[in-house]
Amino acid sequence: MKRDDNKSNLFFKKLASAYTEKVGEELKKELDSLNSSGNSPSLDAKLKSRLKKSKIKKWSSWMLPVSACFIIFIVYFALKQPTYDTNISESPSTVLNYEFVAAKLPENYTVVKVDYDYQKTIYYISTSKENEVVLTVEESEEDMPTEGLNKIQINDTDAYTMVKDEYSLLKYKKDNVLYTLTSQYDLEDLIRISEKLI
Amino acid sequence: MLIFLTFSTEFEKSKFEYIYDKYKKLLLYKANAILNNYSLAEDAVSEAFIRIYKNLHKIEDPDSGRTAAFLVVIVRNAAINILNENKNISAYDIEENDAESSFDLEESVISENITDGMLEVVDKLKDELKTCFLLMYAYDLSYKEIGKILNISESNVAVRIHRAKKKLIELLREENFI
Repeated sequence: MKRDDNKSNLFFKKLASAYTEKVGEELKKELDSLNSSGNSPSLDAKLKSRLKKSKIKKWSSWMLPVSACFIIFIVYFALKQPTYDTNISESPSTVLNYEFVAAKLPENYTVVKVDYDYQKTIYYISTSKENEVVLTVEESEEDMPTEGLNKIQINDTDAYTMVKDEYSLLKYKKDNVLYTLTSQYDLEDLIRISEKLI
Repeated sequence: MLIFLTFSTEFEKSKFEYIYDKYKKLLLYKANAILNNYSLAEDAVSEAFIRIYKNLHKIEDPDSGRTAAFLVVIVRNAAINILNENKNISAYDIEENDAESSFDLEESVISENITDGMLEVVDKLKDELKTCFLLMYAYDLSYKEIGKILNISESNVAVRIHRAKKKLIELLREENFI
């Protein structure tokens, strides 16, 4: 995260700190007025249950990757010819191939169709919420127009976004390849996919 | 006592237990105010305490107002997430058209004095923007840390903070504070 010590950031720090101080004092008064003593057995039980799940998650987070890597290694070589139901026509000029995109997508996101249009490859991606995201990939040496777009950073790469009532847009350029993602819904899916692809 | 939690030191354990005992009723009250359902409020508070447990090192003085505000920020976020899940609403709710030009922060602002009126402006921010803004600027958390606490991506954190600052500037200008 880049954070310049400029005037505006100092102002926001002061503002945020003053706000939390004020809210904090009000909360302390509220706390005093509430009867804070007494047991809460059902809350204790819920916390215990959540913590158990969290511990299992932690345990499996280091045990499973080792075995998962091994299994993936075996499966990858055993199933080197991918099997999928998508309608893919042959094209000699695919910038990102299907395997790369499909492998990089977040969990529960799938490529349902691939089209080719002149020098563009168009992926139709179904998200975990069954929304559709269209990813267009094309080689381009020209500068990407960014007027009217908001700039964000995704994995240290500049990306540009726009949100309208009808659609959301995210685009970025890397190694002379332009990636454009659009969705009828929110920006979150586009950001999630871009985080994986960049 | 919460003997099922593992802590690296006795100090940490007693700190967490102290915070839990001291604030659980307040946090239940705050969560219930959002959820209007005591059982769901308990879910939110238990989730919040998991996050607090993982960020215990961020809490310096358990008795300070600053800590109280931090805990309430976390439980409010947990409660709103549960509320949105139950309503099938995406937590990432876009209202405004962000195609307006990106404003130049350096040229905006800046007042030396913080007034009560300015603090009321902060209150007007949407919860999801206010939460990220406060966690970053009041509690000095990184995008990564904020993302982990709120269970959102770093990019989302960045976008929300950007929007929070932009909205604050707009509101401060409307009220003639800057």
